[in-house]
Amino acid sequence: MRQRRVTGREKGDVLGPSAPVALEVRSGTARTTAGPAWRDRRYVANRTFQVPNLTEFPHTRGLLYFADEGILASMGSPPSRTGASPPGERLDSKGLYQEVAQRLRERIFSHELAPGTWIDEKALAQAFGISRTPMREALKELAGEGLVILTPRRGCKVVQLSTRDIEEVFPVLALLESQCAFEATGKIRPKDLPRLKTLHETLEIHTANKDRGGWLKTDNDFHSVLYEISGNRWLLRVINDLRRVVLLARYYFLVEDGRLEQSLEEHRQIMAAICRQDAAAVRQYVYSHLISCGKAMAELPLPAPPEESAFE
Amino acid sequence: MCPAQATKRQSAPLRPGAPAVEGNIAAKALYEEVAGRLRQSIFSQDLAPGDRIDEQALAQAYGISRTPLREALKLLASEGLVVLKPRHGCYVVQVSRRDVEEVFSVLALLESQCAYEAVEKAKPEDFQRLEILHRKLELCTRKKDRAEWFEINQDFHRALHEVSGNHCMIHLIGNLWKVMKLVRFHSLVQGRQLEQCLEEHSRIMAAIRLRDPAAVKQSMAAHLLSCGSATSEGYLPRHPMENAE
Repeated sequence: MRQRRVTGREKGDVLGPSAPVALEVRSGTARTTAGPAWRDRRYVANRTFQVPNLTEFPHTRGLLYFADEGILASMGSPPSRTGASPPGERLDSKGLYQEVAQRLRERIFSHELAPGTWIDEKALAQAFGISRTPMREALKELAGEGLVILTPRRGCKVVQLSTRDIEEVFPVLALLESQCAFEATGKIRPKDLPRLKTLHETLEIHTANKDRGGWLKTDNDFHSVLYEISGNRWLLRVINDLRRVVLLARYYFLVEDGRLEQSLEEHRQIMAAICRQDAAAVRQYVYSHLISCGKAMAELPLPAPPEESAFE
Repeated sequence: MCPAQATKRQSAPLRPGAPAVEGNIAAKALYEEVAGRLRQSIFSQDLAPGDRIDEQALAQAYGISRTPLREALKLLASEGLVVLKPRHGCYVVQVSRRDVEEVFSVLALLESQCAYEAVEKAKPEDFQRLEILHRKLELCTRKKDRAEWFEINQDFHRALHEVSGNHCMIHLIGNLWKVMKLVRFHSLVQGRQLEQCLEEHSRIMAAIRLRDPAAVKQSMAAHLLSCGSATSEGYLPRHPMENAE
């Protein structure tokens, strides 16, 4: 294992199992990247790190690394969950835009900044009491997560998926994810099962509590852990890019009555098939799960006019 | 002030919600122009896989500052053409054999699904167009004209994409082909006989004539998978893969 001097934002955080990504943590001018081996609990230079999961901190686009055996993603330091700065080192002004990004993220998810809204960078920067640069950085981070789009010379807009986009994306996701799940189930080892079971149990809890945010996060973790086992990094990459695109829409979708329960039921089927290592069944269940999600989502009154495609 | 140019967006990254304006005349951002040029250098192998990109020299050569160059590099990195390694710099992506196999396996999935949907939706004029393209392929095989063969091959696949009409899929397929261009798979597949490629295409065409979507899907997937194994077998990365830093 390579020893590196790396400093993290929060002391004492544990490097937990997560998506096949690594962590780039900034400390002053020192930047370094962790390798794929750092998915399990490891200590480095007397500090341990929280590996951000893909839901909260999907890799910033444009900073994707290829290592010889794995795909590494580089992300900014994870924003503090509570919104307040954690005790310990402040990472110069980078901490500032993280907080701004977090607040914007909240506003977007709460629909305060509705899909399709143009974001007035200047006004917001003034309101937050920050200058343009951290504002831009915050927006770039959100753009990397697929929540906003930065158009040159026109500004920044909250992402908006039309019905047609949903109708196009979900069949593709169904195709790709079902194949990935199929390959993963074929390669699954006994030691992988406990992790998946724990995540599944967390899903049950979130459904009981009707916790949408938690559900989405755990759902993404579950799929990440499963798909990673397939070992097809490119398939994974394409899947993750697409999932990021529909993230915002999915959050809304879960609001529908009984949707969480329905999805949980579908997950139970998937989990059962995984446990008995029935790859074909897993493929079928994942496929129908996503197709049914897509169909139901397409029926939601999505704000964008159906003629615009997000993919041109 | 640079004048607005009516330029077709080259390989736009996945950008949800971007307005689909016909003949978009909004001025292209500087970094996109730069990215376009870099992309061309990479595809033409001026910047070969594994080469380090000298940001400073490039910025000077293009007469721009570091920032738009960095943005351009980030864009290319998101497309999978370059790699940004902290403290090392920016490198043109080195595609490994495993990458080739993986990409072709994903392409097999996507292209075959695309072909399936295309056959379901195709109208008589679409079938005619495919027939014409297939006949051209047969001609090229007889003339042993490789360059032309690949051109028409691309047109054939694109025709199927257009008929299927799923922009998401088309976009993804486009990105993956771009990465494959890095390995100059055209020249690698030199090893393959044109006759064999034609044989696979004939099978696809036969299924299309029968209007059998499932058979088209199956034969398309088989075609891509065998292309993939041919490419990866003939492929030797130029630089030995360094251990990840």
